[in-house]
Amino acid sequence: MSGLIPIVLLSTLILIFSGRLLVQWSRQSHAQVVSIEDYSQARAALDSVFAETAAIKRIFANEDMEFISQAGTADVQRFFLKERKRLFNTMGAYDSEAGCTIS
Amino acid sequence: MDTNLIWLIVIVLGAAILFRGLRAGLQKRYPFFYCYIECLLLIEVLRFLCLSLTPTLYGAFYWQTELVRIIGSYAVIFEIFKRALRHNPGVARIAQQLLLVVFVVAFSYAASDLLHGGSGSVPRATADLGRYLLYVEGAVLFVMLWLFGHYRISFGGNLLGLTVGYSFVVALDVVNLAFLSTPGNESSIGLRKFIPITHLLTFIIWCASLWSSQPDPVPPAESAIDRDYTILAAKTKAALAHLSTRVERTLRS
Repeated sequence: MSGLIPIVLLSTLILIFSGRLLVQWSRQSHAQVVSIEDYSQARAALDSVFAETAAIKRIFANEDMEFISQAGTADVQRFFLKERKRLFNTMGAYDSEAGCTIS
Repeated sequence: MDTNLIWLIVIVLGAAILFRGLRAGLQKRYPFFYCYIECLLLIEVLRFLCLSLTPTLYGAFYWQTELVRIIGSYAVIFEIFKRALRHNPGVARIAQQLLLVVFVVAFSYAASDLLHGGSGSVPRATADLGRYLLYVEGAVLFVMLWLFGHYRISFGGNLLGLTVGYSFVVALDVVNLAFLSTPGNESSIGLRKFIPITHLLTFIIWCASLWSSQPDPVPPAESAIDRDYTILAAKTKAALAHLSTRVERTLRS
């Protein structure tokens, strides 16, 4: 009969520790731990902003303007500036709708 | 409630767990656990068939299948360790290797006892082997739960339900087998009636927690368990280096 005591103790400790695990989990969920899905979504949104910024920088890059000024004729330069202005106005309208500004 | 009815509900719940696991994609995340559930369902059906067709062989068959179930349940511990420590690969690898060593040692010890015929009849020896393995499993589970609690390992809802349900059933099985193996202990008769209810509660916990896939929490940037593991690994390396130097010196002199 005395051999049963350690076994009963072991069993009780298993139940107590699994209960402790439950309590810890409940505290963590009250503290609103960020899930991997939330983290991935936030990361994807941030990455898309970075990608968009990089694309805008590339579109309005000074190198293009310098190249056109050196190699292009006056007509080509005029056409290039007109296109950029139109593109800038279109993006400005789009961003003001979305509530952001192009810096 | 009628015992057969409880077992029938357990089987239905087991089938529901398997079905939902397949639908929610949890079978890919916890393959060993779902194999264990499949194994449990198969065992229950086979036991029922054995009891209906050859009731005289039921006693021996019960203990043989119980041994298979206990061995299968080691895979669930392995799964819990693997999933809970997936962000701590070094610790997970050591834990899995230790678990494997513990299982092999416990199985070899209990099997050698069985082969030397220390337990009398074959069903009795099989029951003893299962009991020893279950005790070791209970001890491993206790250490595992202490480790998770001490290092505040983050659990998703699915893994938590799986672990709590599993701990519940192992804790009560350990007590039940201990009482059952004590001759003339009347408490075992009462506990025997309690087994189907514990299994029913466990399956309800599993069914509720594994009904749908729940997100896993993001691991903390710095993990205490990883830090302790790195310190322990460094200390062990230093101790081994010191020991090898001393052995080398002794061999030279």
